[in-house]
Amino acid sequence: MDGRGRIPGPAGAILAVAALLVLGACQTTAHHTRAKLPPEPEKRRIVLLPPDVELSILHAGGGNEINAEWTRLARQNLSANLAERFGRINARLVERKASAADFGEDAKEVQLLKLHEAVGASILIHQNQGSMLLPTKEGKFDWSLGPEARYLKRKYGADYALFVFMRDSYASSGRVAAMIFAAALGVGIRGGVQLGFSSLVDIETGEVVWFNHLARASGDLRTPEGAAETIDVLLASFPK
Amino acid sequence: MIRAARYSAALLSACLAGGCAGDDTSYYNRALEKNGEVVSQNRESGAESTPFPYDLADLSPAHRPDPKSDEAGIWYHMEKVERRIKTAGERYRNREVNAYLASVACRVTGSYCKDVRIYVIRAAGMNASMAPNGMMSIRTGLLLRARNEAQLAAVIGHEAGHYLRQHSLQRLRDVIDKTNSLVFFNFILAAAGIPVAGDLAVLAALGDIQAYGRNHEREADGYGLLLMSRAGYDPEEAWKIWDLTLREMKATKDYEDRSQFLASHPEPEERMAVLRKLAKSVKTDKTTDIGRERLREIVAPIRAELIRDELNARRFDAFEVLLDQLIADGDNLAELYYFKGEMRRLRAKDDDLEKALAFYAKAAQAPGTPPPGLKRSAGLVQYKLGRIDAAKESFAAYLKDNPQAPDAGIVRHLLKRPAK
Repeated sequence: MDGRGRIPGPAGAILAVAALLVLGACQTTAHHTRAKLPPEPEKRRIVLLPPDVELSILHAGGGNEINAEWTRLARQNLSANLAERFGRINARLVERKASAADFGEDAKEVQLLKLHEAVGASILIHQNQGSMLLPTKEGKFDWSLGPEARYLKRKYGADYALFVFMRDSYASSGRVAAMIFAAALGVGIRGGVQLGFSSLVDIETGEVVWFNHLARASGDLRTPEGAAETIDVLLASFPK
Repeated sequence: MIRAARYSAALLSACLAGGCAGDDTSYYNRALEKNGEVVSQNRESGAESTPFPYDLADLSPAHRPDPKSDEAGIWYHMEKVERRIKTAGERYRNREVNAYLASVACRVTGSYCKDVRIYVIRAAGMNASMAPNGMMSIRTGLLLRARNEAQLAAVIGHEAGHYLRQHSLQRLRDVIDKTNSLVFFNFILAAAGIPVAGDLAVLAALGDIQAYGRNHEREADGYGLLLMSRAGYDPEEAWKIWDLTLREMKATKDYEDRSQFLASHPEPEERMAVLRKLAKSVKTDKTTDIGRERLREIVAPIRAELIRDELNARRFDAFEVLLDQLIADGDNLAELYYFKGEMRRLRAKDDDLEKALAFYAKAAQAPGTPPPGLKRSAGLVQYKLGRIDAAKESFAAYLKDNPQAPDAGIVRHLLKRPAK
C-alpha cells in the first residue's frame, strides 16, 4: 500500500537512453521510408495525436519537478506551430477534438497510442543508440504499428498520424549554482535537457514513414518562438 | 538554496552524529488527535505527535490544484497515468466487484466520495495504492485476503489517508530538498578532500527519505482507523488484516533478509500492535459493522480465478498459508482442496504428484463444487506418473462432463496417445 505513482510504460527507458544520447552529443539522424508525401492535397491530411509532453524543473540534486503551467504552454505552442507549418507545405492538420472523456473511453485509440509509445521508444533505442543497434534492423527502417492503425484513418478521415513525445527540463537557480560549484571543482554536471521524438505513420498500412529525435541541452518550448525553433530541428527532414 | 544549505548543515551534524529524523511512531496518532478522538492512555507514544516538515492541511472535498503549483505538475502526470489505467489490460472489469468496491469506498470516504476513483487491478498479492489526484487502485488479491468488509474498509481508509494528507506532494518536496542539500554537502566534503563521508551522506539521506515515507504510512494507518470507524465499521478489524499477511510473509524465504533501513513501510508487527491499541480509542457501540457475508457473496463466484492468479505467482509456501486460512473459513472446500492439489502438481517436488492425487480425491468428496478442471488435472498427474490407463479414465470423465471445454481438443488428442 503505497502513495506513490510510478512512471508507466516505456517512458523510463526512453529517458535513460535519451540521457545517453545527450551525453554522447549524438547528432540527430532522421529515418524515413518516403522523402515525399503524395502531391494531391486530399492525400496529405495529417492528424496530430495528443502530444506526450512534460516540462519540468531540474533541481540541484537531480530531482525533476513537472511544471503543469509550462507543459500547458508547450502543448499549445506545439499544436499552433504544427498547424501553421503544415499549412505552408500544403498538408492539412485534421482537427482532433480532444475532450478528456473521449480520450479515456476510446480504448482502441489509447491502445494505438500505447503501441506507438513502445514502437517509438524501440526506434529511438535500437535504431539510434550505438550499443543497442539490432542486427535484424541493420540498414533497414521497417517499423510499423500494423494494419489496426487504420482505425485512426476511419476516425479522423486523415492519411497520416503524427506522434510527438517531448521532455524538456530547465535548471533551477540551485542547479545552476551546483553546476558552477562543480565546474570549480573540475567536475561537469548537466543542466536542463530537451529530448523528444516524433513519428509520422501512414494510417492506411501502419507503416512508420518518418522518424526523428532530438536530444540537446538547449531549446525552450515555453514561448512560441522557442517552440518554432525546436520544431524546425525536429521536423527538418519531414517528408515534403 | 538557503533552506538547502541549512539542511546540509543539519545533515552533517545530525546524520553523521548517528541519527537522522528517522522513524516516529507518534504519527499513528495524528488522524485521531486532530479529530479529537484520541484518549491519552491509548496514545502510541506519550508525547503529542510531531508535525511533518512540509506539513499540509487536509484536502477539502472537490479539491483541484492551483495550475501554477508543483502539485499541478504531479496531478498532470497522474492524470496521464490514469488514462492509461482506464484502458489497461490488467484492469478487472467484473461489474459487481467494481460496484461493490466503489460503494465501500464511498461509505469510507464520505464527502470525498467523488474525489476518490477506484480501479480494480487483476493481480495476485495484497496491495492497494493511491495517487495524489484521487486515483486508487486495488489488487484483486486483497479480496481473497480481507476476511470481511470492515478489513477492506481499513485498507481503503488507509489509502484515502494518503490522498487527504497529500503524501505524494509532501514526499516530492522532501526528496527534492534532501537531494539538493546532498549535492552541496558533497561539494563541501569534496573541497575538504573527504570522499567517503559523501557516500555515507548519500546513504543517510536515502535512509531518511525512506523513514519519512514510513511515517506517512503510520499516519495513513491512523486515517484508515478513523475513517472506517466513522463509517460504522468495527475498528478492531484493522489490525487483524495483518495476521494473515504476516504469516504469508514469514513463509517466504527472503523474509529474514529484509532490510528495515530502506523499507517503504513500517514492520507489520508494529502496525498490528499499534492499530490494536488505537482501536480502543475509536470503538463505540456504533462501530460494530463487520460485513463478512457481503464480502463472501462478492468473492464466491470469482474465488477460483483469484486463487489461480495467486498460484501462478508461484510463491508456493505463502500460497499454502493463504489456502489453509481459506480452508479454516470453510467455504466451498472442494474448490480449496483442488487447489491444494494444483499447487503440488505445479511444484512437482519429492512426492508432490502423489499428494496432488490425494488432494484431488479429497476435493471430489468434500462439500462444495469442485472446479471443472479437477479430472483433467488428475489425468495430467497420472500421465506424468506413467499410469496411462488411469489417466485415460480421468480424461474421458473430464470430456464427458465438459464436452465444450476450450481445451477439449487437446485432451482428446492425449486420449489417443498410446501407452509408453
